[in-house]
Amino acid sequence: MTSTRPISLFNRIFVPLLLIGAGAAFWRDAPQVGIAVLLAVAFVGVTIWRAQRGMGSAYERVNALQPYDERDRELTMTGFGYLGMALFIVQTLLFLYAAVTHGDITGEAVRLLAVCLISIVATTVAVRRG
Amino acid sequence: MRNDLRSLRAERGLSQQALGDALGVSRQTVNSLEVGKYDPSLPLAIRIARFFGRPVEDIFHLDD
Repeated sequence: MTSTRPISLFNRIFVPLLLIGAGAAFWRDAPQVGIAVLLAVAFVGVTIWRAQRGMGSAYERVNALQPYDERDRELTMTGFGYLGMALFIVQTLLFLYAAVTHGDITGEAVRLLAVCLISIVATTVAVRRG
Repeated sequence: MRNDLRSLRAERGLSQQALGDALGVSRQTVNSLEVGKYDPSLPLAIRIARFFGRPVEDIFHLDD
């Protein structure tokens, strides 16, 4: 019999935030957005429920950020690593674009600084745990 | 790293899903272990060894 895993920390934070977002969309008189987000939450919820039980493919579980075992966890963290690198490069490109086109250079610089700070915290935690 | 997981599982007539359930991992992880795409952590390697009643080094072999 397949055992059930607890909901991942990421999903314990992410799903309630999505629900708050859906509520805010209804409150801001944008029901179409609220319904779309609720449908997304329902889809994510079903995927998480299946992933908790080791059902579906590894691709499905990793996409739901709901790893079932150590291999899923490793794949999830590798995926997050690529996400971080992509975010870093995209934000740097946005900063350069703003600098060249006289755009919102201050805003892009602040966002790039935020990415740098998050990266420093993340790598510090990773190294200390390693 | 090579391993004898597939033959040991076959000897016992277990499916990948059944072995995964016994070890607390997914069927896909058992498959990845068997084809050598994934090397297990030390705790999982020990769980596998205990399940088959053999020392770890009897099941997993370093590529020399």
